[in-house]
Parts: sequence; structure tokens; C-alpha cells
Amino acid sequence: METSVYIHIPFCRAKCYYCDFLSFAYSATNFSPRDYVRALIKELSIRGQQLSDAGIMVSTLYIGGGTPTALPTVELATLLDNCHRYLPLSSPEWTVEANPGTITPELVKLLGQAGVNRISLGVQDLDDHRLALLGRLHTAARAQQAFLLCQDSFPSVSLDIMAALPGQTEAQLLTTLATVCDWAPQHLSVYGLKVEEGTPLATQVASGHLQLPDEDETLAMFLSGRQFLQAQGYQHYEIANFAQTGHRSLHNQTYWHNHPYLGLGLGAHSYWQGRRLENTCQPELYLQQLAMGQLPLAVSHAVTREQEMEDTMMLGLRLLSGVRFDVFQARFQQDLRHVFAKEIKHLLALGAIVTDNTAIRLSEAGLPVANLVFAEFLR
Amino acid sequence: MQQRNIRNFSIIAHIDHGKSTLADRLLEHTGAVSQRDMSEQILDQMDLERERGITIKLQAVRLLYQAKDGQEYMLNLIDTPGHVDFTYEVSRSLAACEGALLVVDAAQGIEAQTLANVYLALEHDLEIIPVINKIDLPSADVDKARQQIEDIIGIPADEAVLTSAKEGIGIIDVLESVVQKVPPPTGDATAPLRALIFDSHYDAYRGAIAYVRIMEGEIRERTKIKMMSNGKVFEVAEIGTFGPRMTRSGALCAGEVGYIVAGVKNVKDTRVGDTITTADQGAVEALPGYRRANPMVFCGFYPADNGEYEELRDALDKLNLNDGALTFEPETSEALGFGFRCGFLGLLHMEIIQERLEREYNLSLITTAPNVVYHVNLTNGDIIEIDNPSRLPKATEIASIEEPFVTARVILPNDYVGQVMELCQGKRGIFINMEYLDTTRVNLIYEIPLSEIVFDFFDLLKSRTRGYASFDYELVGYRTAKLVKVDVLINATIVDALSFIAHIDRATPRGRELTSKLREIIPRQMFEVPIQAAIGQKVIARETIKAMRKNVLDKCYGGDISRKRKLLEKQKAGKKRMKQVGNVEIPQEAFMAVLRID
Repeated sequence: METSVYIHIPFCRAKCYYCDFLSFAYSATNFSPRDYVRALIKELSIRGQQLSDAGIMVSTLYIGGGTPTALPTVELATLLDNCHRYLPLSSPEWTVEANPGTITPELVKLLGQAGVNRISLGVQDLDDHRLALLGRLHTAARAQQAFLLCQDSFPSVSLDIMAALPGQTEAQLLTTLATVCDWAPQHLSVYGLKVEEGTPLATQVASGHLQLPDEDETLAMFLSGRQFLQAQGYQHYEIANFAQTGHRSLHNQTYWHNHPYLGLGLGAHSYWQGRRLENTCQPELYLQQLAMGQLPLAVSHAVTREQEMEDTMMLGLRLLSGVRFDVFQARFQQDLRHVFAKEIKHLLALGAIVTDNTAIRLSEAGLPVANLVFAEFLR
Repeated sequence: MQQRNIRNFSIIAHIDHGKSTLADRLLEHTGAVSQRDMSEQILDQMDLERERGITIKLQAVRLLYQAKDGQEYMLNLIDTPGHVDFTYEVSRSLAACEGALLVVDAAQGIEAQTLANVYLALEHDLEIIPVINKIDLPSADVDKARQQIEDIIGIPADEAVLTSAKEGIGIIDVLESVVQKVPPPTGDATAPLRALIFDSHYDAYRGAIAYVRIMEGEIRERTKIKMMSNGKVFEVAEIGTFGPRMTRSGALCAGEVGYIVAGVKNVKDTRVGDTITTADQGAVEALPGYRRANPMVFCGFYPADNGEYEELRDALDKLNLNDGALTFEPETSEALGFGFRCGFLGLLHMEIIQERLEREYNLSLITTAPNVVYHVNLTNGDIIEIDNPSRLPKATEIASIEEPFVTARVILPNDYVGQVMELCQGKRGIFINMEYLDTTRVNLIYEIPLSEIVFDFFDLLKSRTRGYASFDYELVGYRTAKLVKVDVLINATIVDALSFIAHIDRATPRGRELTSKLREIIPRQMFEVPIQAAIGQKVIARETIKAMRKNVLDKCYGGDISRKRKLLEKQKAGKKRMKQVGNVEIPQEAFMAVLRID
């Protein structure tokens, strides 16, 4: 048996203006990375023991954040060591998220030697003005340097690119994508900027200081960006993800296939033994609980069989390959065409999905409005 | 008690002019309720009434008062509902009295509703005692209020009682005036029984309880009584008075006010205005003025969740036990499924029922826009009544349509006369009269189709006069008008619950406004949705809801799954409150949109 493990590092050098993830800027918190990593290692040891006892190997490991590479080097090194020490790794796909501004030759060496084989770089854009608007610390030139450093040391490099940014045009997005494609990363995540409530960006948009592209422009960016990347040989395999052959993210596919995973760290989520779990989001509590040798859970609820089916559809349809009938049948001993007969009929009539003998998937028309399709499957 | 020591009176006042507070003070002063037991405003017992500051259900209370002449008097205070929807109930409660306190706010003067009720009281030959209230307010102008009472109502006001119910000033003076000026009842206690029902309520254990004023004769427990409107006979189980709680007395005599419990299972058998007599050797002629309460305004109530149909029916049944004026019949809408067409005395009555269903019975309702009852003369000579626009026959089968008209009385500051006249003309009003009440206030009278009043008249009146106008209306009859039915088609399907009847000159602008409103309310779907308004086959307005272009493009990673699910569930929950017509999801407020167009 194999599973996936996610480790959350809730620290950044500075918060980006659009970010509402659970992360602290060093300048704005007393929360010590040293204390945190110590507690995290305790959690690793508890969970690692459970995995070993159950004979479950870790086939994908993902360290995300926040900015894992913003940890003090010594803490990062300790964490990587302890992953080896406690987790039953079976030559996993091992990804670390990095901010281009944090990449140095030393860091690349540290990660490479530890066994990290995939880097996800938050490039976001190659326009320095817009990067500054988003509160990113790096420039386009720095991003390219970071990429070149990573490319030589890791078999797989993924870049995050954002679209529908304030003032951005379709042509500008395509220019960014063209440049990025010249670098030839193995994997690209391209997704639209989402304005989250309570962020500085939301304030600026609400006050009219920043203007976002309208719906039609955003759609045009999505469609032409997709077309461009496909022409460059990238396979569009999930709503926001593109990959060269052999470089799809195994870790993220765990989520989309609705398979179990363990999330470690502050506020991390797990899907484990039929339950959705959430770690506490409060730093003190997280440290206290682990100091007492307890898992720092804040939420734990059982997923019913119905919810599991719904989640399987909602997540599986994100993949362009869709949800396979045989896979659903093997998992639930029921035919998804019967379970969701009404929904499928409705969506087929609308032309939002297509089916053949093997699977159900989003249609070209359904892709841009996928949330409407997913919602249909929730009852 | 001797008739000469009985006084039956009511209080006439505009909302907010202090009727309930005055009533509370009278109760306190006569010891009917100790101050400690007072919850503010005893007479308005329903929560809704208290929240809205209006009286819906009538209440009565008996006050025992030791007057300055040394004698004890029984003062029966009969409360009247304070809203235009309940004019008939007001007239019945006035018929049970010999006098009325006319409460006028010293700062605001007389309002339309007060005037309408004063006219009712004068029709019943009631002795009217002017009470100028709120004299403690800095803006009080007692002389002006006096002048108004004399000019407008034509009764001498030099002896008007000056009070501040809030501060407890002048309460004894009020009680003394009632004793001295309201005539005692004169009914013959030996004549056959005639008791006027001025209110009733349903008690889960004892059935419908009639609130009565004995006009003639007397009544005792175990007597067999007859309801004169329908001839039904019941045996009296209990008789009592209101002190203010129901207190058993065993008998009631001519002139007295009290309640009768007689195992009546249905509140419809204790109709307001009906006369009770004895089954044996009863009165031959009923008291004048009985009238069935006819609903004037109709709308459809549908459960938002079709599974709640039975609960809705039970809830309506229960409300109906206490409210004989509410009518309901099952109806089916293609768009909304199974529901009920309900009839109400007026818009407020409708809102109250709707709120009670949602609040007390926890139902989620879709309400269609209210409409009036039309009389339709068919080409084959038949006459039918239509209370649901979608049921209007084809234009070719209709010879003519008649609609109800009301006399609308608006009292307003003269600065706004121009705007209000414009509003009334715009609502197809016919000017009847205008008179100056004093140098600054005007009484404006128009005849207006009720359908226009139901539509949005009141809101517009309030906004055009900044809330300074008061308004009252009364049905005058049916008149022929050029009316047409406008259908609304969403994605080429007629949505029956959105059909409305309008004057031919208004149909096109209203159709346009409604389609444009619907375009805002109906969320975008995965496809383009045309919205049309049509008279018969002829399309008079068209709008298009563009297709949803984009609703995705975000990342979804491990931690997001629960959150994403919650977002989608929220999206879905919104949809659950919508009705599906063809492939289109229509939100509930769309069915009320016809009301929100100008």
C-alpha cells in the first residue's frame, strides 16, 4: 500500500497581496520556525510510526506552504533529514515549493542531496510591474535565474503562472507563456487570480485602484493560453495543469482521484481512513498538542459513502481524462451512470459533459464553467 | 351591574399616536393589571403586532372604576385593529360601543386612518371624546390639534382631554370623561337575546370563542344559542368577561361585554358581525351590518421545497382556525408545483400570514405577486371571477373585464400635493375631491383601481411624501377596464406564476420593466436564456441573459478540498431555493419581481 504526504510550512518572507493561505511573514509573527519544525518532527514521528505499522509506503511527498524555502537553512535541513528518518519512503516523487527569490545554489544542493526530485516555482508572471502589484519579492530576471539553477539539479521543474491579473491582457499572458515555454519546464500550473476576501488585493480592487480583466477577457486568456501550451507539446491534464509526457504531478493526482493522503503541519488537511481531518490553525495550540505527544487535530468528520461518491466526481472531473466507469465500479460496486443518472442526463442535455464507453468527462463547453458541473454532483 | 353604570367605548387613533400606551395606563389606573404584571402594551398580544406596532386582532377588557361621584362603573374597552385591511372589523367593534376616545397626537395632528375611523364612529352615532396625547413633547401644539379636530371632524374640542399616556398625565381625566360623556347602554334586558360578535379566537381546548356585546336580552350558561347568519345551534358551556384575562361570570346582560364558549369547532361559525340569539324564542331580526369578510387580495403560496406541501396545508388550516378571513384553495403551477391560492383582506394581512407561516411554522415559501379578483364577462354570456391571472380565458372568449375600484383618502402636507396627484393619475386614479384641513394639510380623495394599490402604490406614496402622507381606502365597486393578460416566457416556456393582468396602456412598459428586472435576478446559466413578455402571441418585450462564460480556472489542492466542497455546496444551496423551469433555474424572488417594477 502507498499513500501521499503533504507537509505545510506556514512561513514567508512577506505575504503576497492576494494570499489568504495560512502563512506568517517573519516580520509579523513571534512564532519561531525552530519551535515549529521541532513540533512538526514530532508529528512526523507519530504519523510515520502509524504508516510503518500499517505497512503503508509514502510514494509522493510534497512540502508546500507558505514558502518552505524561506525556512532558515538549518531548519529546512533538519526537516528533510527527519523525513527520511520517520517516513517509510519508497523512492517517492518529492516536491518542494519554492519562491524564485529564495533559490540559491546552496539551497538547490541541499534539496537535491536530500532526495527532492521536483521543484514547484512560484514564478506567477514575468512582468516586474505586475509582480510588484501582487507583492511578489522577485523579478522576472530572478525567476529565470532560479529556474536555470533548478533545471540542472532536478528531473522535474514546475512553474506556477497566474492569469487574469490586474491590467493584464491576453497578449501579455501569451508573451509570458511563450517566454516560459522557451525555458521548457516539465510542468506548468496556470490558473486565474482569485480575489480572496480580506486580502490587501481585495481592498484595492474594491476601491477601484486595480482593475481585473472582465469575464470575457479572462475566458479568452484561458482558452488561448491552453491552445498555445498544447501547441508547445504540453498535455492539458487537469483544469489548471499542463505537463510534458511523464511529468504529471503524481502527488496532486492523489487529490483528484480522491485517494487518501496525510497532511502534516499547521492547518494541514488529511483524508485518512474515511475521514476528513484538519489540523489546528493556531500556532500555540499546534505546539502544545504535539509537546504532549498528541495529534493537533481541530476537525475530524467521517465521509459518508454518498459524500465519497460526490467527492470522487467533483475531484475526478477536474482531470481531463474524467472519471472512469470501471474505476468507480471497482471502488463503490455501483455504476456511476446509475448513481448519477439524473445529473448526467441534465449535463449531457446542456452539453457540459461527454461520455463514451469508458468514462465521463468535461466537454469543451463544460471546461470553462466546470464549477457549475461539479456542483450538480453534490446533493 | 346596572346598565346606567356601564360604559362601552373604544379608542380611535393613528398608528404611533399612542393608543396602546393609553390603554395600558387605563388598565393600570383601574387596577385591572398591576404594574408589575404589565408587559408593555397588554392589548397587542401577538408578537408580530408588537413588532410592527399595530393591532391586528381585536381585544377587549373590562375596567372597574371608582368615579369621583362615588359610584363604581364597569368600563368595557373594546380595542380596534389599526389598519385599513381591517375596516370591517373596526366597524363591528364600534357598533358594540356607545362612545369612542379619539386620540390625536399633539405634534402630528389627524391622519387619514383616524379620519376614516372617526367617520365610521359617527355613522354609529358614537359619542366622541377628543384626547390630545403626547402633550409632553416639545413639538406639541395643543391649540393647533384642537383647531384641527373642530375644522376637520366638526366636533367641539374645547373640552378635549389633554394627556401624555407615556408620562401618565391626564389618565384620570380620561376615565372621568368616559363616565360623564359616554351614554350608558340602553338595550332591553327582557327582549329576546341579540349579541353582536365583534371578535373571536380559536382555543385549542375550547374551540372558537366569540367576543360579544349583548345588545338586548341576556345569556346564561347551558342555553342553546343560534348563529343568525347560518342558523347553526350550539350549547353555551361558559360565559365570562375580560379582566383582562377571561374570567367566568355565568351570565351576561344587555349592555355588557364578554365571551361565550359553546363548543364551536370552527372559527368560521363565530364570524365577526354575526348576531347570536337563543335557539328557542330567539330574535327574529339580526343586528344590522353583518357582512362576510371577503378577501380582496390573492396570491399563490408554494413551498420552496415541494416536500413541504402537507406541512403548508396543515399550517394554513391552523391559521385559518383563528382567522376566518383567510381563504385558501389548492392550486397547481407548472413552474412552482403544488401550492395554494390564498385570499386576504389586504396586503398587510397577506404579509402577516406569510410571516407567520415562515416564522411560526418554519416553512420556506415562494409567494407569487398579489393580485385582485377580476369579474370577467365571457362572450357566451357567463360571468366568472378570476383570482389568478394565469387562469384568465383566451382574449377571444372575453367580452369585457371588470376590476375593483377603491376610494382612496390621502392626508398629506400641501407641499406634496403635486407629486401625489401625479402619482394617483399615473395609477389610473380619478380625482374626486381635495380639501384643506388647515393651512398646511390637505385631504385628497381619488378613486383608484385596487390592483394599482396592491401593486406598489403605498411604497411610492411614502417615498414621494417622505413618509408624511397617511392613506386609507375603501372598496367602491367594480368597473369595466381595458385589461389584458401579460405572459412571461423564459427560454421560450410560459412561466404561469409570472403572468399578470394590466391595463392595456401599461402592459408594454410593465412587460419591459419586468423582463429587465428578471434579467438581473435570474443568474446566468450555462446557456443563453431569452426572457420575453407577450400578450397572446405578440411579444412586447425581450431581454437576454448571457450564458455563464467562466466559473473555474483555480487551483484545487489538498487543503482546498473541504473548502471547495463548501463553496460548491453553497452554490448548490442557492440553487435549491430556485425553481427549475425547463432547464432554467429561477430564484424565488423572481416571482415577486413583478411588484418591484415602477
